[in-house]
Amino acid sequence: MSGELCEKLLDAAEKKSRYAEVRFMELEGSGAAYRNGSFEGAAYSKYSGYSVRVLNNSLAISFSNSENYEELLKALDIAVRRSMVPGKSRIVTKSDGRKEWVVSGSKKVDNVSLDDKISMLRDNDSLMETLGAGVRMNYISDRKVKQVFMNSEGSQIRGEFSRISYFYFAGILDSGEFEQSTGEFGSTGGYEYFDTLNLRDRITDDIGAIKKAMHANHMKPGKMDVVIGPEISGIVAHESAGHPTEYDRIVGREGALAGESFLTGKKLPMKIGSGAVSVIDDPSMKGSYGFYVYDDEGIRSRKRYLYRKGYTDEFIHNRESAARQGVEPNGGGRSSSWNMEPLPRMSTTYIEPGDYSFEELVEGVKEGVYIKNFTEWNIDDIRFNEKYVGKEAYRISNGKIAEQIRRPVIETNTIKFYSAIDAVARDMEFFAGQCGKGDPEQGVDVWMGGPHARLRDLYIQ
Amino acid sequence: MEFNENILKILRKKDLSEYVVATSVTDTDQVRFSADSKDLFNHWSEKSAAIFISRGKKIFSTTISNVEMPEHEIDKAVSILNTLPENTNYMGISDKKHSYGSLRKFKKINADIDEMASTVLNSALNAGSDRVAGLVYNEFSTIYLDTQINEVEYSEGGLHILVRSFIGEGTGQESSHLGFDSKSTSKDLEKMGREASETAKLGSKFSEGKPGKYDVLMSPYLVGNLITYGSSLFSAYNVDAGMSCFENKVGQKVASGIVNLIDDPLNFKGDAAVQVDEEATPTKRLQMIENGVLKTYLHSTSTARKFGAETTGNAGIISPHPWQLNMLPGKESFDSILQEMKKGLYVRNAWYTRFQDYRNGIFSTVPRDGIFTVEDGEITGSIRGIRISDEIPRILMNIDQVSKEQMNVKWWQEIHSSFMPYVHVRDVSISKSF
Repeated sequence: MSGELCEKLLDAAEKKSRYAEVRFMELEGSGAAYRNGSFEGAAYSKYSGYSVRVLNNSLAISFSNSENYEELLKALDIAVRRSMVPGKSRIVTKSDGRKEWVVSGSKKVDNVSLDDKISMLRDNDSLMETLGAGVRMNYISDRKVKQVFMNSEGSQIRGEFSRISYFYFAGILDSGEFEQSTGEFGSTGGYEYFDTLNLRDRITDDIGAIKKAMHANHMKPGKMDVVIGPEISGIVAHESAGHPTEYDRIVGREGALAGESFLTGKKLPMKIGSGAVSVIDDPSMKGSYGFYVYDDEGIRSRKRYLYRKGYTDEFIHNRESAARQGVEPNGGGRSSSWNMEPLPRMSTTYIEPGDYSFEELVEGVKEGVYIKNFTEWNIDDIRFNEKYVGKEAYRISNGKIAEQIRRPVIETNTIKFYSAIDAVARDMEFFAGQCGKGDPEQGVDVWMGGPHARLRDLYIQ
Repeated sequence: MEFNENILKILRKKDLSEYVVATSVTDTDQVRFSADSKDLFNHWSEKSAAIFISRGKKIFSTTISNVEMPEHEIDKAVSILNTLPENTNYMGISDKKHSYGSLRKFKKINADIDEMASTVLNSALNAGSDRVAGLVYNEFSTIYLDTQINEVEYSEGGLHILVRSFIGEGTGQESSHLGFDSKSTSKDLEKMGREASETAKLGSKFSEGKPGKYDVLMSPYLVGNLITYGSSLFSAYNVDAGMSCFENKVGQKVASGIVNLIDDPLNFKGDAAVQVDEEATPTKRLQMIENGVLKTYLHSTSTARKFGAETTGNAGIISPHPWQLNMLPGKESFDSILQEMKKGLYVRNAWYTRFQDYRNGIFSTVPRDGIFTVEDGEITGSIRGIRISDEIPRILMNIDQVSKEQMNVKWWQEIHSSFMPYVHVRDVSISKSF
């Protein structure tokens, strides 16, 4: 079963609409979990279905996981009937032709046994226990996706890919004090990615750092220079560059859910920071957790500058939002499953690397703080007022890393943050995440990360 | 049960200790709108089976959409089960035979969600909104649930209406859920649109907030958000994992004496009402906090056996969870609580609640859709740029007034369907952006 009814359904749909699309997705996933020294369980799912989107006086979508053609026709009729009601009716109808793409990596998902995956979880759990983590959770999962997109303009895109991911949570309790940490890693491809990660070293370093953080002092609040690590530059790029440049947010379509954008109603392009800052979203980055060749609306993916040298630049579009702006879609239409509508979404979002080494960034700070990564974070719904609590952080004194400090807080706004950046390193490191949006909420796989960066005169609490 | 018979026939031949088959058949409609018109209509017609199997302490879960031809997937699941290590924390599913004679039957609510969307959208626009966003859902699922000893069919669903108004930089949001025992009139919808717009108007002129300790009057939306995020702390799974600030707190005071929190799954005024949990145990009204004292964690059979307790009908087999929380009303009216405030904040809603320390419940959340200053019982202005940065246990202990009014609140993933009052909380820590 892999979307055999797509063509037949599209034939029927295009006879009843001004424009029609049919999508099919099959998601085959497996996962396992280990908790506090005990195997938790394993799961497997195979889930597939169709969505048919039609345009008449408005847009309507029917989602059905039936493989019975008559049932699919009933679902189509519901969408057609509803699309006659007035509503917004603009969508880019272009075709990218007939294409196929496959990404499965060298160590394919099907060739890695569940035993091997469980062994990895068990080993990591044991390591964490040895390091003093009393609370431990380890999850591993993989997913194979087959997708078909067809539209009434002749598009016919078939894609197959696999993604793998690993997540851990570790907590240390000592005399009523608690420190927690998470790590999330993922890639589009196969299990070869984990061979490159040095996961045991990462876990050892991470737990060692939170152990020391428990007994470190808080900093005296005040304005100071700050060097941020890739994990922070990545979450900032995702939250305060990626989300506000999703064009559906700018025009209010997500207004009651994930919110609008601080760019809503502003004259564009708008200055958002220093000339040292450019932010990129790039679904074509091979191996990344957000990699794809064609998006879920059959549009070829490509790199996009969201901010370029301190100004807004391009926006993330699906077919519908591109029509609202009067531009071509740029491969940002993503859907987590056959039963979710494609929305403008990020993939791999990062601050463009500069010319500095990490050491040079630190050498340029007389008194300040190095915040390597974060624990709690949040941001308001227009993606302007944001907070990042440091997990592993150190004071910087006279251009050198000094003693560790506990939970320094960056609580600022987007313009102030990007305006304070004066130098960006040439290093890059990425981490996996799930980005939520839409209703029903759909999480899509993304990479966040980037280079170290230096900010001047930022208020740290 | 006949509906699951294909799957059950196969499972019965597999020498399993236990199995649960839950096939859900879904028929759901949604209308979304933004700016001044409708964006999209969505319809879902789905059928899928969630299957749980065990052999001793070996457990495995699978979800399949090919319900008519499940052999291959089930064979694969059982072959994997054989190879798994034991889950030493797993203590089995319910072995009690239930009759389910009193289960109520429902049909999908007959509602014109297009008309409902138009009513709430136009109401907000007519009340002065620059632009509006929102949605209306009509959800309905029938679940056919079989275990090795129980079989039951039940339905879930209801209506969900959400509207958010924008006036300048001010925003206001109203959101409700209606179960099979609720009725919505066009007047109710008009009121939602109008009130969202009024809140947005009040917030359109604002100043920057200041950090410090504030008495905060929290609306049912904000209470719902905090309780939604805090609810996992009541799950025996999280307590067992060392991830809850309520560990070893059963029988102890965890909240102010005027706080009473129940799980209310049989209240069909809400759309999250459910009559049977995921291992076929009938659900029940469950007192979680009584006069400030924690009465129980949320249990499945497995966690209950581990804790030496009884299941509370909250399976998730592995990780129990609440169904439809209800903070019971107090004695004061909203107006009287507001009038008694000398100085503080009235916060309507929040989002993006995140914990830096689950063990001690340390979190922050971003207020939105109405953040007002209060002086001498009057709303005196609107502020922005603040956060509630505090601890769940401290907030629960510092509740000193609970309103007699309640609202059915639900919003996206931020507020699970629940019934919440207004509460007044002393000395809440507020931080702000610099």
